Amino acid sequence: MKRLILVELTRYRTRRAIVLLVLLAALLAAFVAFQSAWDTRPPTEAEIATAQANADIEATRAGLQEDLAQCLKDATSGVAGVPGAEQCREMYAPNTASYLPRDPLSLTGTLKGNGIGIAILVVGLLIIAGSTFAGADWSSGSMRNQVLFEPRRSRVWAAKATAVTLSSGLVALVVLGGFWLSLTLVAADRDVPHGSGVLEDVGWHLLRAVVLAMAAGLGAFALTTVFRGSFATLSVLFTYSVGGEIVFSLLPIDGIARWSLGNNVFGWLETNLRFYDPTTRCIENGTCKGAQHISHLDAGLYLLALLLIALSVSWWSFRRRDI
Amino acid sequence: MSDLVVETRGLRKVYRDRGRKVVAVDGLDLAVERGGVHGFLGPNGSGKTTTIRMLLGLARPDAGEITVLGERFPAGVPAALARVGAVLERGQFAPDLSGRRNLDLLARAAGLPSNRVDEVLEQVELTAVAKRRYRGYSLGMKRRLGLAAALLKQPELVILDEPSNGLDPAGIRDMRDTIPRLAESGVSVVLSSHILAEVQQVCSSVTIISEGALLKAGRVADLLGESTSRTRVGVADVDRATACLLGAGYEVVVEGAFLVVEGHEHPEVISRRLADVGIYPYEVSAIRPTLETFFLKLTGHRPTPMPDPEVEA
Repeated sequence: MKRLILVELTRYRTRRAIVLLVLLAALLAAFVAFQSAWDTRPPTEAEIATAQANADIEATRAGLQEDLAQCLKDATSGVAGVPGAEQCREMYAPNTASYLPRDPLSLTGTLKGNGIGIAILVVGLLIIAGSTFAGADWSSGSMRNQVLFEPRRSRVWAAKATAVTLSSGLVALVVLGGFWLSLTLVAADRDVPHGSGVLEDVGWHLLRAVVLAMAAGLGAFALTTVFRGSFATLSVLFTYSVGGEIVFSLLPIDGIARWSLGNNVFGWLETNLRFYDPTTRCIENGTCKGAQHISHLDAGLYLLALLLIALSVSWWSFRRRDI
Repeated sequence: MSDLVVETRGLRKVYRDRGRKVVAVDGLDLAVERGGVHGFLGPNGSGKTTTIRMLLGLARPDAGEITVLGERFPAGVPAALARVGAVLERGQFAPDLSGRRNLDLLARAAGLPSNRVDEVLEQVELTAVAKRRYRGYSLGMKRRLGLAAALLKQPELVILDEPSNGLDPAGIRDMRDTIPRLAESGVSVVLSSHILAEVQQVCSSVTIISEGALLKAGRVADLLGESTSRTRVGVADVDRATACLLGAGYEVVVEGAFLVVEGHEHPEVISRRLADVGIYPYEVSAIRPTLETFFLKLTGHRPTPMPDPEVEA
């Protein structure tokens, strides 16, 4: 079995389309990391001076002074919940940082923004790679030869599935790991303060992204083995993800958005996903909030169920159908 | 131990095409003896390729039994295929990889030593282009690489499905030379081909099928012996010669400036009969029965045109 897995790993890494997809993933991750670092670069002295000047101008603005006077006046009223005098001065004193042209680098912010985006992009490219890996065997006719040399089809299928899973995981780990490592190093270099839990959140997010990439590559391989072509697989995935969102939004079923592929993927990747569910009718009569939460466990079970269905059909199909 | 390398009984395969049942193979009994080259013939769509795919474990029969090299299918597929090589009609290799890399991956999957790859590349004379991508190979090179893959396992049985299809005359000749060499080295060969001249030249026995069922099987010489021979006679005076031969009890057909005498009569006898009445033919030649004429008579289908002339001097 080890021999077959090594052969399939070689097939994976020598397929030209896959090499190009992996390179593209690496380039995109490097570009987004660079962009994230560039867009949050520390301000220059000139920019700080300009920000300071703008803050000073703002401090003298008549409207602001009136608002501050009103706030101080309210503070003397003694009403509970009304800001005190000290708080009023803090609130209405123009802050230089507010007038800087860029926000500083925030790993927490990246986790909700570019970090999720690049993870989904890499997973998408690994889906295409996994599908291409299987599709090439069928389109070239080389699957027949492979089965002639190893007629035990379950072993062939298992070796290919293992190879695509390991390869997808390794690519995701290197590309996304590189992305987060570079941003963490940049943050350290800039002495960007972050809470103690942020690096832990980044680590868990990275782990979940790698697991998702492995599952996505494996799922794409499994579906392509059923359809015997990459185009059909990608069409089905596109229809399920995009078409599913449309259908779900039209169905008159409360809370059905919880079952959309997109929400579950985000639920798995994000640290704590809360999303607005427009299908929840109870919002209209005010008995609930529109915001929903999908835990990692719920999202993981949903995605695992889809993967297990695809794997079962794929394995059965590969064993039973004529080649 | 059975002396058959391939044996099928009541083999049946049904496909579904747009909800319609298509019987590709219908109760086929096949027996191929060990050694030599066995031709597997049939018109297009007669079920040859489907049968070969079942013999290679690529397709499952709906009914019937298959035994290859003494191994009963489906349980014996792995054991049998370890000793079988095959060249299938369609390309079977990854186009992005070199010929050598393609063979290397197959050899590694089967646990064969890597020096076998060099040996078979040498055997099919592809060593010089072994590092070139498969995509860039000519059709002839692709077929030879297919043959190299078939030989990797040092098989006892090689199954060739239309190995000459699409090849230029030089490629066909190469293939025609290679097949008997394989048989001489002790390998049993099953050759499916449309080129009946090729089959007649290299095969010692044949099986002819039509519409998925067996029509005829046996040694080529025996089957052709069943066919009627004819003799072509060229004479200056066609009318006199016709009268003479008809008078002697022969069945004669006039074809332009020639007479065609039906039956197994030896050309020398016909020549002497004509000479006895003062007619001296300028040509007397036997029209030997060919596999094509036999095949046509049997199946009613015309295979691809024969490249060789029918008449032998």
